[in-house]
Amino acid sequence: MNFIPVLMLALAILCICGFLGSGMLILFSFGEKYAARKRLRETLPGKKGGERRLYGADALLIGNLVLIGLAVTVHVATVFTGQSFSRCTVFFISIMGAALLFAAVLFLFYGFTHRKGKCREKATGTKKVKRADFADRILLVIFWALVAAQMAWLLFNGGVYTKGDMTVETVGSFLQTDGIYQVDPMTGYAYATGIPSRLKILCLPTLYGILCRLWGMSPESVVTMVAPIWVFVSSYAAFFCIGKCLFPENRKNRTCFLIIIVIIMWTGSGLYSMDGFNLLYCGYRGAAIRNLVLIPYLISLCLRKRWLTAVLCILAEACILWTFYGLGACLLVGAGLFLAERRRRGGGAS
Amino acid sequence: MVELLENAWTGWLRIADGGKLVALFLVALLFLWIGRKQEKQKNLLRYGIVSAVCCILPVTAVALMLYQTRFYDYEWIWSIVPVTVVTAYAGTKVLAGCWQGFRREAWRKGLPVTLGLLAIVYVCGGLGGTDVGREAERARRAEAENVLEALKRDNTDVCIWAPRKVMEYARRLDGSILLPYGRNMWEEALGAYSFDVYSKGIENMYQWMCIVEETLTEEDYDRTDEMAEKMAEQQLTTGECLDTARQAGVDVLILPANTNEALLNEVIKCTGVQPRQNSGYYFFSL
Repeated sequence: MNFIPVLMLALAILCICGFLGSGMLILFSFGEKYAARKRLRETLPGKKGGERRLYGADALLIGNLVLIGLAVTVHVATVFTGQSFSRCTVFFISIMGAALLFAAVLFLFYGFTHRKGKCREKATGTKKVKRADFADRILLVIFWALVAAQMAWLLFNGGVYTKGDMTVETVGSFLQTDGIYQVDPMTGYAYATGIPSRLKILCLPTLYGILCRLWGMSPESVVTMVAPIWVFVSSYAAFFCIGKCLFPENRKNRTCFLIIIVIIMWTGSGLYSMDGFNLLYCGYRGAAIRNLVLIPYLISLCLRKRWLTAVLCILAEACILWTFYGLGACLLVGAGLFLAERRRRGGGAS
Repeated sequence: MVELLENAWTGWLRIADGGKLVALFLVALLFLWIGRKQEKQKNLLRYGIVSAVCCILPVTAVALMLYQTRFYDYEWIWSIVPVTVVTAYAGTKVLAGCWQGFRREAWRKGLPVTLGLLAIVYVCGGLGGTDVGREAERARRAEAENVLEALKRDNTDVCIWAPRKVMEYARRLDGSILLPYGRNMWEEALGAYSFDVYSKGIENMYQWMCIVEETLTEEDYDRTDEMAEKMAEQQLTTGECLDTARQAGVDVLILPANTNEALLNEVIKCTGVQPRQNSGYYFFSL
């Protein structure tokens, strides 16, 4: 298999997510400024010490949430209006183009309004960058070496665990019939009685199908190669955010934390349902995206007390994973951390 | 309820037996709990403890399994427990303490502890616990690819009835191929994705093909008696299964080259066609 197109597509998805997410971060910053101006900021928890700060990695993760949001919009619209898959692809390109344009406008506006501040910072030299010392560099080299090894494993040696999953067949049936859920992916024949409606709104197969259509790649390549790389990078971005929350001032501890995460992923890859197994063997599945990207990111958001942003993770899970008619694991995690915080504040007050 | 409680308990035993990462996580929780007075992230610690207890105690585990509506295995309720994060957090605290903030001079204490922790994580990880079977899967996939390639030379949009290892990959490799039954016939979990069920006739076709695969001639060892016995036991006849296949729209029947000779002759007799042989398989046009 030629790995260059796989890497190119994964990189393109990550860049698009990063760009969309950056736009969202700018929007958030405008919103927070507006709230501060309206004196709402004082009522928000976690004001002290920049606890609620967003990092660069947030751009990629929020971009992922936006991508899922756009995909589910297009998917649901196509399913319920009975449009063809080709139209769905056109609709997705249009909506994605609009979102990218909006993000670009926000960038320009932000760049224009913040130019003065940056010039002042440059002139006075107020922004200090802490230089990495020897231990810092060693830790970073170990971390990147381990990550590169895992990436190589995914690309060259990885196998996929397909038991209990039919994503590849589903994407193939979308492309073959030019329709969404027109035929049973297992047989290729039309459904006699149909599928559960909760299942119908899950957008991952449509997203993968659109990527196949746009990039001219086979469903198997996109599902088993491109998507796991996308999830892999996003996952470490989410763990990086947690590291930033746990060790905000100590870069060495943060890198050490990430190294241990990578090692746990390696060693846990032989255990069914563990994070390492999901990352290295079935990174394309909704459950893997939930456990490796959404839940870690949700934890980092909850640690920063960004409850409203955390709701996006809960919604994203509902769009990509069949939680049957339940509300999903993200909601439980978010609720648990919210209650823990309330208890702490209650205890502190008493 | 009793069944769910049993599932929760056996699920916990499965997790505990498979690898010791969960045990390592519990040790990490204990370590953080002991040093909780200096702990800045009390919320994470508190949440980690409560969620782990909920997943271990059978009664709360059942409640969580009901929340995930029984479809998923017990293992998946552990999604709500931050196993990786808490373990890594505790590990970082230990290492940062031993290396005294990652200073080179502290290697006498730091290095042995680092190596010890690495060994513990390696042992607890249970590497190779789940057999993903990459090599076997690659071989099966390559075989299926050859068969489909041979098939597609003469046919397009064809419905095939073949051994399980070919059927398993057929629609993954080529969405234009149709099947009378798919992987959801032998993977129960996949049945939940649709309200459709297979008819008795289609199930008989699957059973018939299973018998074909179980009674292949290997090293001139003839299994005709075994085959006849199994057919009789399951009340299957080749003629009826082939009729059902035709009704289900099957265009091509694919059988392994080492199919039991008596069975092969029966198929030739019922179909009235001579098979074409290619890539280690017989192809019958129905």
